Amino acid sequence: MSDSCRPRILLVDDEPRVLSALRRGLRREPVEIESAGSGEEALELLGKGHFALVISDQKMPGMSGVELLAKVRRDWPSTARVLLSGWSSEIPEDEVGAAGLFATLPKPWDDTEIRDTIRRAAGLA
Amino acid sequence: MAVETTAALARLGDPVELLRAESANDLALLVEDPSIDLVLLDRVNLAGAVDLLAALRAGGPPSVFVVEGDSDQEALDAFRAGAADCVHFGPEYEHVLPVVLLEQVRRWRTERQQRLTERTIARLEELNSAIVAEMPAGLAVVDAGGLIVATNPEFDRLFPPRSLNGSPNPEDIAAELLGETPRGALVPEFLEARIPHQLAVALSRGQADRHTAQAHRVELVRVRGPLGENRAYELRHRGLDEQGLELLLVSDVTESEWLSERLDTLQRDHRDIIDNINSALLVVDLAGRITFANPAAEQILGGQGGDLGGRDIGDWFGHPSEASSPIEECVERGVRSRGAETLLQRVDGHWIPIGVSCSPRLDADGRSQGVVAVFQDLSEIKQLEEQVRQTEKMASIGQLAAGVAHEVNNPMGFIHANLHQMSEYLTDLERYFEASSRLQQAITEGDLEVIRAASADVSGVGREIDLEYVRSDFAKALLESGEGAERIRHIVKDLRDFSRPDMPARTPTDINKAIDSTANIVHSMMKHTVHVEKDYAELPKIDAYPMQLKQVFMNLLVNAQQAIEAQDESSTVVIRVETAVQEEDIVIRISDTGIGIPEADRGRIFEPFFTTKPVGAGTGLGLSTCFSIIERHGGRILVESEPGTGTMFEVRLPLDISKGEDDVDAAL
Repeated sequence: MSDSCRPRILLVDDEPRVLSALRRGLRREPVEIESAGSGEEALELLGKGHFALVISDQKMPGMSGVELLAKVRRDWPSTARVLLSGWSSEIPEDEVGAAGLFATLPKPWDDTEIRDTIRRAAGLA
Repeated sequence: MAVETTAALARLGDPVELLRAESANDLALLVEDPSIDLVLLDRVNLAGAVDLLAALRAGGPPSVFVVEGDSDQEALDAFRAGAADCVHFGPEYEHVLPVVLLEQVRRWRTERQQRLTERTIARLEELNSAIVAEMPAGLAVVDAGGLIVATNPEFDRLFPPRSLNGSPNPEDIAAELLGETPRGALVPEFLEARIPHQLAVALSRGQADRHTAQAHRVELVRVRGPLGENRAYELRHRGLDEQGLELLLVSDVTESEWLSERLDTLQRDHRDIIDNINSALLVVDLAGRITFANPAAEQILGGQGGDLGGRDIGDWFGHPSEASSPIEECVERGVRSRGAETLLQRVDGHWIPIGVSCSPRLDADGRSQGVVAVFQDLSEIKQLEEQVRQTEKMASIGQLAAGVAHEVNNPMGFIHANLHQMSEYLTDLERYFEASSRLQQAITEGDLEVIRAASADVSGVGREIDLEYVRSDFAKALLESGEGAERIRHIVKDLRDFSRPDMPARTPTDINKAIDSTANIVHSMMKHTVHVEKDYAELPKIDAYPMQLKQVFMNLLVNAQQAIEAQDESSTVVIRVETAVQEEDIVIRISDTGIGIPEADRGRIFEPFFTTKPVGAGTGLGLSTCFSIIERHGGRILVESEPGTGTMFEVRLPLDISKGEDDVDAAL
């Protein structure tokens, strides 16, 4: 399968080690992975090309995860949105609702669960 | 002198001292001597002697005349002139003269002695009545029937005769009359006409056994006075003779009784207070030895029933961290202290904190006689203080908890994922090793076909598992996980450092370091939102409680962060921390660009339990704890704030922290 056919996934986290671990877990997946260290950087990448899915951390300096995903929903509604957070229940419901999430995943995450979610969100399953 | 006279005097037996008068003047001078027993006029011219003898007669020694022959006329003249006796100078002269002289001397001596005795008695009587009249005790002589025979003025003053004492009633008059009846009345009733009942009873008791009681009997008799007041009399009485006359001495001791009772009461009250106060009270002499310890002091010092007397206070004081205790300072240099904190070593060897006030005991000339010290065991208070501090510290950790959890959770997340991944790598590598060992086996057996197939299998597995990638990424995953673990270890260590209770004693503290380590916690726990900008001056170390100061910095930093977040949630928080040395102080300024504090609240922010945060978000103790910690260090904490612009807290700590502490401790 060529790269151009693979669904593109954008990982957003201010913690490079988290990005690195996520990539590691997804390396066998039939997806193309990009990563961003902040919401602003993510929006920049989203403006350059289509992504099937954005997986974002919640707590980051500047823009938070749900803020980013709400913007993604507004500008790129066909891009699926997944929030990765240790305390998603603490985020105000209206903010979560505004982001129109496909799923929320816990932190620490389970590789199998994340792969499964990605497959479903990217329409691979 | 005639030979016969000399012979006659020699017959007197006892030696006779003779003094000769040659003239009337001589005689007048000689008889002035009171030891002259007799004047002998030996055949003198009678006519000339008459005047002289008349002068000598009054009270003087007797004179004996010697006259010539048998002349009766001469003898008669001699007697007329005042002679005590007359002797004829005749045939029996030598025998008669000694007899006459001895008789005259005997008489004269007897008379003189008697006169002297009478004078002495008269003088003693005079003295006696003066004493009786003037003595400050009532004195009365009472006869066996209870009749008051005689009184002195003081007795009359103490117990005035009834007839003088207001309007007499019939019974008084009857008693008065009885009092003048010589015999037969009963004692108590009789005396009661004059003296109070209780006194009369006491006296009648004394009378009953007067025959056996020779010495003074002394009794204290309490009497209710005419106005209902309590009076006390000291009563002494003793029998005077076999007929039952009795001497009664009454002193009004109401005043001195009252004073001594008052003194007893005061002493008892003082004793009660001293014995029952919770504070320990110690009196120490100038040599530092205990002269008094109350029960509370004995309890702390481990004594009982006054057995601490004479012990040296050095036995309990002198912790290695102190040059000398406040009590010793007071003993040695007269330095007063109020509520100073020091350490005391109990009998079991434990050092306990005490708060002590001591002052020198000065005599009338202002010289120190020793020291009075009052102290209290502060162990419990210190424990409570430490608990409050600890609680507040835990509360501020609670405010950080979310940040901590997040900070721990991120590394936990990737370590967890990496572990999972590495176990997959391990499975892949096992497959590769199995293929490799099969190839090894084939080479050993030497079958070329088998070797070729095994080799292709090794390459196949290697490609399948992406061997190069696994090899390098395994190491990378290990390294990153290690870093994550290290980060968690740091966070936990920071937390533990911060939540650890302080050392009981001051330690030399680097303020910049203390702020740094606190700022690190805040930064690492809230790094998403907080950036601490530092501008440090070089600071000398000061003796302080570093954990307490860190808590102050923590509170101020967290407050700053919250103030900025409240102002603008999206921006990164910049907190400026500046340190400097100004005059005698180290100055720490922590400023934020947050919402600021309204002027109305500014005066109350250091009050305990004052908070503007929602219920549950803050204890309201943060700044009040800061305030008391800084005060404890002898420093000050000030605030400048502009609503909407920001707040600056300024902490000033004296370079010589010990200067300010005693005052503060006094307030504890």
